Amino acid sequence: MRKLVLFFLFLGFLFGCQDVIEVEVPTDSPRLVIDAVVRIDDLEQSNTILTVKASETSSFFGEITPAQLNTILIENSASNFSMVLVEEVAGSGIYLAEVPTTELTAGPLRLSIDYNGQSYQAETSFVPSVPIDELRQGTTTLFGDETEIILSFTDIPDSVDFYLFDFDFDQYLVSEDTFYPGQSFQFSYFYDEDLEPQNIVNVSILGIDEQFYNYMNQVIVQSGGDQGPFQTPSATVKGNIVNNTDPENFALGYFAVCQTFTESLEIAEN
Amino acid sequence: MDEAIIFNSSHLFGFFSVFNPDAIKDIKLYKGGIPARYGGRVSSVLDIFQKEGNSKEFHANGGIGAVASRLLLEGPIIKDKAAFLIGGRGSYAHLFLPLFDQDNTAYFYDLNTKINYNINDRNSIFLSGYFGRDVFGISESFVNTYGNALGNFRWNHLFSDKLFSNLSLIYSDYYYGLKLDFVGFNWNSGIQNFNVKYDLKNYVNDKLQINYGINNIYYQFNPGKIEPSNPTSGIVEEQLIQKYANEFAAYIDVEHDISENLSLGYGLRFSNFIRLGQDELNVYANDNPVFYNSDLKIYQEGTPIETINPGRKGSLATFNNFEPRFSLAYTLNDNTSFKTSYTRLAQYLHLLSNTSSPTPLDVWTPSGPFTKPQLLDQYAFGFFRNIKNGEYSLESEVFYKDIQNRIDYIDGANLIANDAIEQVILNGEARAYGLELLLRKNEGQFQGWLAYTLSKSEQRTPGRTIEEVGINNGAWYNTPYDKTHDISFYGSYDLNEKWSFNTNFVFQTGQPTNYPIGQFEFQGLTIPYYGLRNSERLPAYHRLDLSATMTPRKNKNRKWKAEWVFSIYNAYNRRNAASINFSRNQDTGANEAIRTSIFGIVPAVTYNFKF
Repeated sequence: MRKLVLFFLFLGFLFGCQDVIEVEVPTDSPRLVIDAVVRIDDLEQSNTILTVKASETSSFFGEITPAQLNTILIENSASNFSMVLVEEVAGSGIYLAEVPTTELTAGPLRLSIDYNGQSYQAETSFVPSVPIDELRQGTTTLFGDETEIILSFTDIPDSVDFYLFDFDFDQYLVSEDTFYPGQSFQFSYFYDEDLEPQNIVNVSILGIDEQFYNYMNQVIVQSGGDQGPFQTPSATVKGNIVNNTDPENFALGYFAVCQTFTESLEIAEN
Repeated sequence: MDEAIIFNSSHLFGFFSVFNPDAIKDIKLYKGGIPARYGGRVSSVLDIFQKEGNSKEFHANGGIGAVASRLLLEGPIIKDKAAFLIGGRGSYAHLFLPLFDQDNTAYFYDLNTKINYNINDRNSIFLSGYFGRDVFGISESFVNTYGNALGNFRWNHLFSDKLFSNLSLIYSDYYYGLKLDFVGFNWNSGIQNFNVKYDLKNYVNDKLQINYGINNIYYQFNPGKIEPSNPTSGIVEEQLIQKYANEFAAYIDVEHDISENLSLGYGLRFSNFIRLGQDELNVYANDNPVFYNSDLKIYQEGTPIETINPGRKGSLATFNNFEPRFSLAYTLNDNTSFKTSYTRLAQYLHLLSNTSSPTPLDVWTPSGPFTKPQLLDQYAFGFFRNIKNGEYSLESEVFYKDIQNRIDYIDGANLIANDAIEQVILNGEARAYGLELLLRKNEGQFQGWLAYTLSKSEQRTPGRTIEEVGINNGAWYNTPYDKTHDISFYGSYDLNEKWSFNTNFVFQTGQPTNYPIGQFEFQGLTIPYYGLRNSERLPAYHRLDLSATMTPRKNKNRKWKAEWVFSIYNAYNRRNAASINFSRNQDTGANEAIRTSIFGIVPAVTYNFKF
């Protein structure tokens, strides 16, 4: 038995009044941030484009700037494969490589980065996912003006699985299968009133491992999209990017390779 | 309350106390010098007794108010022998959610009952009960219910005019439930306990009183049960592993007047806590449930090497503690006295409070194989003085507390529905010290008090080995309860027979919290990130309440007595922050600090009556 995180919705605003106030926040020196979530939609496709976004942290009310890496390299240590990523547009901080899909789906993967004279590494491996069985619009609301969508999928049997749902518009949820092992599971997600009829929503289910699940769970909560009425206490969310030169100067972000299934739905008038 | 343990003491996020003032006879608050008859709590003890019904004649009192209403009835069952008391309160459902759809609800209710029966001069029995619930709901999809329930049977017996005894059988429970229909499940959790107490008071002579007794509490913790809420739900019913424990204590407590000026209190409590067997127990390599990732320098949940079934019969861990208590009071003259005390206390239940959320889901976890009991050593010194022949009085106290085995959670811990809480907590220590001053005006048309506390409360959770960083890099940090300044003022003024006025003011240093030290972007999300624990504070909390009571003059000769109370809670509408959240505004794309405040100004009118 393990802990679970339930599919709570954002209920934080429920029992009180909220307003925006001015707060003076402390500022840490800039850190490297690596956003390297590789989504593989089609295992049959010969090549997959690997996109890594490098940036620097800023103060909470400041501007985030791209980071210029000296080098960035992807390796598969089982097949001795390696390839250098190239910056898409100079100064963008977005690095690309077209990698054979089979190199990403088997064996331990490593991302090696050289930045500001320090060397960083992250290790991961491919995690499978399951298709979305059904995606449809519902009619329930919580406060009257949300749009409900109902998603169902069938959990991978005989294993402990973790999923990340991407509901578009930078809205995410994580789930683990503790309470629906191997079952067909259905739940509702509510978009706020900004969603209009004829809008298309793209919903993805990503296979993730436990460590990335814990990471995304904290990241979702801390970005303000509450995972529920019982927020976990705020803390520094460290991912899997390790600074080998100076461990104190740790980087933020994550490197993960996830099988991904996506369905689209056109929102109808309710 | 009535000797039972109350796990959550407020309704509607602190707007109302769970203790109905109409139904309370006696409140004693012990902070320093806690007598040996109390145990199990390292902070302080609030001992509350419910009123007994009037055994001579029937009375009723109540109030009809804009926020809540209440009614209390009492009277004889058998004249001069047996009496009952029954009191109830409730608030109105939609009061605090006027902006939302009316499908949404927030209300509380509670019920106090007591029956007492004087069998003869030497024996009397009491039966008392309490039941309270808070309910919050959003349409039919989300309903949150929680509250306390307790029952107590007491038998008072006088062996002689020097030896009194009291036997109590107490049941209490705390319930917390959620219904989340849009995900398809119901969630129930709680703590039950059964308590047997036998206490004797022996008045040896007018200088010496000896109290002694025994007490046994059996606890059952239900961390949660999940069940499908509708037939189409894919949720599989699951009971998280229940935990069981037994706490036994025996004490002797002496109140001894050595001379006219000097009195001593001394005692010893022995407590024994057994964490009883349960159906599943995780086993970890080296008995270490928390994994330290030395590459990332973070703590992570450990992975059990196996899960065993120790069965319900055996014990998983046993703790014994001797808790000496000592207090000394010295009266210099009619107006001046000193007191000093030493207290050791053991607390076997740990509270993991989730500071960033105002919801009352506190996670209690019993001591056991991975968590040792908290041990408190407290030293206090106090000074008391009457001024102007008792018109005013001044009390002051300095204290120092040292607590061993104060636990805290690792960064990013999931506390809710966590079936292996040992994987997210580390052992540390805590300390607190401060100065308390209380000035009272005891006489005259104007009466009241002014209290000020200057204090520090902090904790430390060092790494378990030299390599580990601990929580907050092993340095001391503020506990969630740390309030540097705490000022409260209460005043009442009787203008004439018709009008009286009350005012209440509080000021507290803001609660410790975390502000982001930076932000980063990941997968389109803007994420604030945080530095050291509890290093910042919410803005200061302050509030003024005012009330005016009008008692019509015609009351005097009537049986039916009534009064009107006009009150304003939070008179200057201070938006006290319950929490501050940092996030990006989805519409403007700008980062914001968002304050959540629960109660603004609440004006109310209440009509009180009694007969």
